[in-house]
Amino acid sequence: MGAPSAGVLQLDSPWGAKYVARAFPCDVCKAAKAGFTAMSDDKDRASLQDLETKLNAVAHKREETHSPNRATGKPSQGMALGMRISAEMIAAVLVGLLIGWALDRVLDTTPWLIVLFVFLGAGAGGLNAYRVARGYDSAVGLGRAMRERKQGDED
Amino acid sequence: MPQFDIATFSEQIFWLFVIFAVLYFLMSKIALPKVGEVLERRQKNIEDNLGKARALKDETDAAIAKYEAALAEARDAAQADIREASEKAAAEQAKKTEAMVKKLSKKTSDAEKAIADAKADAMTGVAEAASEIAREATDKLIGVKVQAKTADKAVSAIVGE
Amino acid sequence: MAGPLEQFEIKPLADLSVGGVDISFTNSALWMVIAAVLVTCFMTLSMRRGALVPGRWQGAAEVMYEFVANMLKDNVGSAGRKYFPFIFTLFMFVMFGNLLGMIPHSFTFTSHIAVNFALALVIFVGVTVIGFVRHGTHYFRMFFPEGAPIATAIILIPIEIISYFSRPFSLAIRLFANMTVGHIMLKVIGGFVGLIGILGVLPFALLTGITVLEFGIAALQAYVFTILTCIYLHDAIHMH
Repeated sequence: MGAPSAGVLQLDSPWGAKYVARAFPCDVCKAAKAGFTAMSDDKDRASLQDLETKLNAVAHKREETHSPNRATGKPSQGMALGMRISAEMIAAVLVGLLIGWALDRVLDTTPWLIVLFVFLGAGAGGLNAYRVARGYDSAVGLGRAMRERKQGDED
Repeated sequence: MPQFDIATFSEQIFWLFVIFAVLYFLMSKIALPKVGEVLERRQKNIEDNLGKARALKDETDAAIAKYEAALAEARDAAQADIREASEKAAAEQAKKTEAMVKKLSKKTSDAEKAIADAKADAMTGVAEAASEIAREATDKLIGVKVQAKTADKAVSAIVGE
Repeated sequence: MAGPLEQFEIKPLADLSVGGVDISFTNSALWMVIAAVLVTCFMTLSMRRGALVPGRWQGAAEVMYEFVANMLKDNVGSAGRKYFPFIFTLFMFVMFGNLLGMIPHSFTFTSHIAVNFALALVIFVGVTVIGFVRHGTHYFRMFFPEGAPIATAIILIPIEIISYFSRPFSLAIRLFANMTVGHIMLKVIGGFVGLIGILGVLPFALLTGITVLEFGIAALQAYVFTILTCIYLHDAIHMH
């Protein structure tokens, strides 16, 4: 005899009402979401990102070009190197010759100092040529040459 | 070799110094400051523009962040509203349903009671009629006058089975 | 046919003399003037507008400026800033002198030892003065390498002194030798082309190749001359 009342309960139970209510906010959410994403344009977002990378790249490049990079004399090659070495040798021997000749005249020791200084000049020429060949490029400063060689050995 | 003709040295060196000095003057006083100024101006311009671009970019980023925050807030608020409304609706629905159920079950129980009363009435009427019919029948058939009480007992014994 | 050395001859265009010293205006002086005028025109006319976005000529002038400025900055540092006009003038003058020498029948004033040595001597004296002004007598330490045994001083100091004094010579001789040898080579091979006529195709190809090479050497030697000046300047200012 309780059957009719049970039927009424099933047809119009609170669970049914809840089911309808649960579906409703989800639809609203979907519609809202679609509207929101349409507002912030994806294309604009991409171009903004692009701008960011470009700006960073430019800043990086500018830093690079502004950092000092001292020209490290690399040993040059071939004819140019030969020309430079011969110039160093000739110049040094010439200077030795000149100094020796002048000292000989002042001290009246002809020809001893001129002979000595030609040899010293040849030594200096050899040293300079060695420095040029090693790429130190400095005509004077064995100290630096030695230090750099030490560093080179450590590397 | 003409290069070693010492007689030409004085004129070469004289003109070298004169011309080099004039060129040095022209370069240091006129040409190089101009180039330096142009390069500096360009450098400054580029730096300014880069700075401006960076500032605008940051501004845009900030605006986007703000907009997104506002958007999220609005979305949360909307969802809260929706949830509240739906909960309220559900609660009301449930209340209405409960009232309806109560009303219906009351009606049902009333009806059941009425039916039970009617059935009981009918049952008592039937038992009375049966005992009377049974008494009359025994009287007429076998001439025995059965006491009403006995007949009632017999009927109720059968009906009550 | 003129010999290969004829191109180096100094020919007076206007005879001048002051106090018995011959200062005639010669073809050498004429080409120096041409070089100076070209450098001045190049550096001023191209920058006349001073545009923010440079045109071709302005771009070239700016490249030269930045090239020399970087060379100075990389080799001397910020202390070399006040010598920039001199270094720039030196570089442009020597380079234009070298390049103008590539024009047929022109005169290469950088192929003359007197010019080169005078320039080198000015640099040498200037650098030495800078060194002594900045470091006083401490500058003499240049002539004895630190870390070397004291006993070697007697031989090393004369060698270092000779080495130091050989700077202007090597500067001058290098430029002189490069310019002279290159021009003699061009002249001799050019003579071959004229002599053997139709068969001169091979020497002509060679001549073309050497001409290209000589243009490179003209620019390179100006660069070497200038960068060595920068290195000497660095030594004088920082003493290693």
